[in-house]
Amino acid sequence: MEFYSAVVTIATAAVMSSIAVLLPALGEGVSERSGVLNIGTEGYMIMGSLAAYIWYAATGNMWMGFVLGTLVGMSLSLAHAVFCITLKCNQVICGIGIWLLGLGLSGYLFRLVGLATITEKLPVTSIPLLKDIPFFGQVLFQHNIFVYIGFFLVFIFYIVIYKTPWGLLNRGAGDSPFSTDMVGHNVFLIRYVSTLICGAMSGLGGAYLTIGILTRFSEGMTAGRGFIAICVVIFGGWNPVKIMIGAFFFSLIDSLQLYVQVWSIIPYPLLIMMPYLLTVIVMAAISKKMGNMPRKLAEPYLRGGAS
Amino acid sequence: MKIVLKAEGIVKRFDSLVANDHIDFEVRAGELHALVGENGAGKSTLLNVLYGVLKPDEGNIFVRGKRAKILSTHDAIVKYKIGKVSQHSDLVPTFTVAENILFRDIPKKYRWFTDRDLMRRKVNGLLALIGYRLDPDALVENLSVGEQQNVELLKILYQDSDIIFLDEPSALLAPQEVKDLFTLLKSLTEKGRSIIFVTHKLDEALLCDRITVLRDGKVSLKAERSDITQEDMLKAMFGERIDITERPFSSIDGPSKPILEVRDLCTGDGNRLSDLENVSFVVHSGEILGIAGIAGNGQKELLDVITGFSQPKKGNVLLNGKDITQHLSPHMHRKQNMFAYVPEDRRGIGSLLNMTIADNMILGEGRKSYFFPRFIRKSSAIEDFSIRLIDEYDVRTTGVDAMAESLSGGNLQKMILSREFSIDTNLIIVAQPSYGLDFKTTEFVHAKLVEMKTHGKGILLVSKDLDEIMRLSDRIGVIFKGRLKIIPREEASVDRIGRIMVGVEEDK
Amino acid sequence: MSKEKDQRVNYFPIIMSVLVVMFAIFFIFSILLYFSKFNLAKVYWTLLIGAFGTPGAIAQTLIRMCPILFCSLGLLIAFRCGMWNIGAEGQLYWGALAATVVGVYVTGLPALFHILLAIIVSFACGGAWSAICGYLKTRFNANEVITTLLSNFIAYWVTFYFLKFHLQPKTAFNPSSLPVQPTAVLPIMLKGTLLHAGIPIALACAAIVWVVMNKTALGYSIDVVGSNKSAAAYGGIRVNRIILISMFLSGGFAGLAGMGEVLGIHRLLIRNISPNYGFIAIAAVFIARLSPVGAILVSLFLGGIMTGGRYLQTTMGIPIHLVDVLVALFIVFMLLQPIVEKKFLPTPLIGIEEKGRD
Repeated sequence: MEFYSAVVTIATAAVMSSIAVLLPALGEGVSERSGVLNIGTEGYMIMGSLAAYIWYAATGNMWMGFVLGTLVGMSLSLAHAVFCITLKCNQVICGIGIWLLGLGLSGYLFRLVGLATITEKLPVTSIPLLKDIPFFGQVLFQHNIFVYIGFFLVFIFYIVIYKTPWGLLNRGAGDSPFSTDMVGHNVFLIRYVSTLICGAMSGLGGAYLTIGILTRFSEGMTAGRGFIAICVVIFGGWNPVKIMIGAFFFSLIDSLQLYVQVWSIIPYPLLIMMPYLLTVIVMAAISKKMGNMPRKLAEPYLRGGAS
Repeated sequence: MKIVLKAEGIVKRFDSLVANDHIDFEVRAGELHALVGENGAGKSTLLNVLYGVLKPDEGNIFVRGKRAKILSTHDAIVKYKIGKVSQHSDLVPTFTVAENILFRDIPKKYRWFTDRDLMRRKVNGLLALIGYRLDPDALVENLSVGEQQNVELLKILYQDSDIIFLDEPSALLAPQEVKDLFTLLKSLTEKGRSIIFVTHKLDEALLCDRITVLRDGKVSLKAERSDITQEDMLKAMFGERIDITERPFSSIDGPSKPILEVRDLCTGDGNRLSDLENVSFVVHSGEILGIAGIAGNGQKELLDVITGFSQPKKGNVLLNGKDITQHLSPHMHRKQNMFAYVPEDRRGIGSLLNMTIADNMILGEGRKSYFFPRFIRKSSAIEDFSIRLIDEYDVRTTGVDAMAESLSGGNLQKMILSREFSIDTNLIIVAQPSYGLDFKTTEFVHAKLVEMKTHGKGILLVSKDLDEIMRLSDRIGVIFKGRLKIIPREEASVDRIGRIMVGVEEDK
Repeated sequence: MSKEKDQRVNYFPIIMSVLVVMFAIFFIFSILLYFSKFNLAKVYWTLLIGAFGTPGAIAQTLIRMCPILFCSLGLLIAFRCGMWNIGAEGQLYWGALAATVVGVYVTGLPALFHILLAIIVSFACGGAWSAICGYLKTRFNANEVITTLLSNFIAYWVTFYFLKFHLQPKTAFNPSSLPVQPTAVLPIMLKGTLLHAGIPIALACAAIVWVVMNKTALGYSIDVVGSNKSAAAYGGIRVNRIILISMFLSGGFAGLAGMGEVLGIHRLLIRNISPNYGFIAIAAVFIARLSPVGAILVSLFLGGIMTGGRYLQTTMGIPIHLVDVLVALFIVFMLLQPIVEKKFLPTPLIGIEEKGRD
């Protein structure tokens, strides 16, 4: 019984915390599909966290906090977009710079503002009927409303990517911007929108981390979740549903460390590094045949030249 | 018969080169029109002018009877309903056939969603219309080259283009795929589309309704299919050239020994036209063996094997009598200074554009010990060497410390030549040495090749330019569809060579 | 990227563009300062003093310069080879771990040999870690940006694992190892400071890297591979071999950065031995145009900013994060430098292309 309740607790915690990774991963997935790599996702997230935290702590308005987090994430990604898409700078270095910028800026502004901790986090909203299903009821349907929003977003992203023309345009911009340009679509616009979506989702994820889970802000609190999101995208083959599974899986590994006394099989630092290791292995496995990987990822599109 | 496209007096120059010299060209509605000529005759330039890629220096274009200003490919496609299938793919490899064809304007249902059923129906309809079978949901990257090309064709049809350019479409196709292509094209013309088919293969040209032959930028022949023969086309393509048989055979005194010997070389699985089939030849010291042939018949494959970039499936390569087939790697070759290689792709593999000229001059592992004694860079030796070479070869530059990318095409080639010819070896391999070069530089390059020959080196010359082959070679071979035929000197007339190059005379 | 050893290179556009970019950076930085109501002039002056004003400050600057320089040297080798190695931080951690193990558990060696051993082992560990990603690239064509990026995190957590579960004595409160043997400590150069022998070692390494890259066959081969892989193969260079060697060297120097921090500053291993030196070095090496001399200058500059920033914190109460922001602004805005440079160039130098006939 103890084992069972431990499993349920861990799984529930994993689902709840996976949303903080899921949202940026969904956004990054879309952005990468169009050809833009956002190493600065961590920066988008933590700035979103800070913005949400400040607003919520100051006004008590949770939902505006989410909105603000989203907007802040989006503005940072706009900077990335301008540098990398229009000015054709190196996406890797720009991403690292924006990450460090977000990290430093959030730390600085937090010191400057210095508000008290939030006490109230998102309430749990159980879905009637479904919550009584054994095991899955508790794990999946007794969460705060944002978790359900997260599931819903997976659904939306899936539909948009696979069932709408925009999804095709997105894929075209990332695999063959030249062909996409030739048939008359605006590759730059597609990439801008995708990058902004990444920023928005990452900011939202950061806001959720603050308001929904941790009810505080501290420097570097995103703790690499932005990078885990990048891992999840690769692990999930740029597919929203697989990304959701990957986000859950990696969050599960993360949640396990909370209960390391129970398990004690794998020391928790090694657990934490598992997602990264697994992703490197996946990279080695898929890179020969490419699979679903965007063919022109991180390559600036040079109009008029070859791409 | 209505004239759907007419070009009048088209002139296009590139610096001193006149690629199109007052060309008059017209296409009737619903006809399959072959545009024939060897490499460099001006075919692609004419197509680019008509497609809006290039602006003509002089001349007029009329589309469907009206004066046309084709300023961009967008104009050509949208305003004038002209479509072009080029030699490199314009498709998105990870899309399906249907997605590629309809990419410009994806059908929607309920305003927001992709209507895949409608897409399938449209594509199937298009396929049925022209009698071609293909799965609309197949991924383009899994298709054969021929099928991909047909998808491009379908894309153009969907764009509603009724004037279609095909630029050497059969270059990469297997014989059966060529047959399929023609069936497709025939059914298209029956439906009223006009197709311009650029080729150098005379047998294919004769499958078309009308033929226009270009040579040296001018139209040299225009006729209906029924009115001409392959002989006529040959004469129009090659005409009067210096015949090698009339040139006194020049070679060095003394015995000549075989330097490079290739025996029964085979590559690939024989499905592609460019797969080599039992290619054999010998290059002796003090001679230039010229291999003529239209691009795409196996030259690249042959050079890749000899220079160690790929392994042959069968066959042997011998250097100075020693079998080196097992040692085929660029590293091995360079280390032992087996040969000098002037590649076709100057900027791609022949030079390091963002490094200095001096750094380019010392490229080649074979001379590492000379320029890097005990692995330390000897700047004085490198500088002296580079300066000496750029003087000797008249490379116009500000100095050996200038970046290689600042060199013009001709000077870049001279730099590469100087580097390679200074290697202490007795085999030189050159591919398209004077491609894109002006007259003076070409003369210089040719003179240097002859000079190397008189020093006793063996030279393998591979060129698409028949003039060049005729001027330089002591012996000639012609490569066609992966097979090489060495022609005895007495028989090496332009006429004979031309026939083999275009497949009129196929070897058994 | 090409190296500037040519006297004929026009320095005007480079200098102008650097100035323009610096101006933009400090402009934005000033806006941030303004919002927090700090006296701009006082801030910049204090920053300068804090970095170079006193011997103690200079010592601190040099101390900060040391790991950045080590990492930069490594990175420039990889970048010149065309390999986007962004795993310097992780390679640094491996070097730190190796130096700790050698420093703590190897006994009975005289100081010189002890330190030499630590250098060799740190270099080897960092190098091997980096070479793994190089192998994944040559064998599997795995994108090295992602593999090296993620290898940072793997390295960090594995190092932490060793630290907490194997190296930490039972009595310690914070995760830290036993102190290293006195014979392993890098000697102090200036009494009263922490200015350790790692700095001259780093400078010596810069000289070594300069010699290797500009004066040896290996350096030439690395540059050729980075310039054009196909041409390198055409010239007979064994491309995969060069890639692996350059990745190994790259990680090795980053490993030395870790060694310097452990044996020079902390004398033991702690959890966060590096404030993202490896990532800062990526920007540094980019700004330095992949040259060892530039690397020294830029590392010194960034070391100065970090030191001055610390001083700003203690004297004026400005949060240290602002310094991180400044460094990050550097990284991002320096990307614009080549673009701005082009605006200053008179006319393009490229010769007229002769078009083909076909």
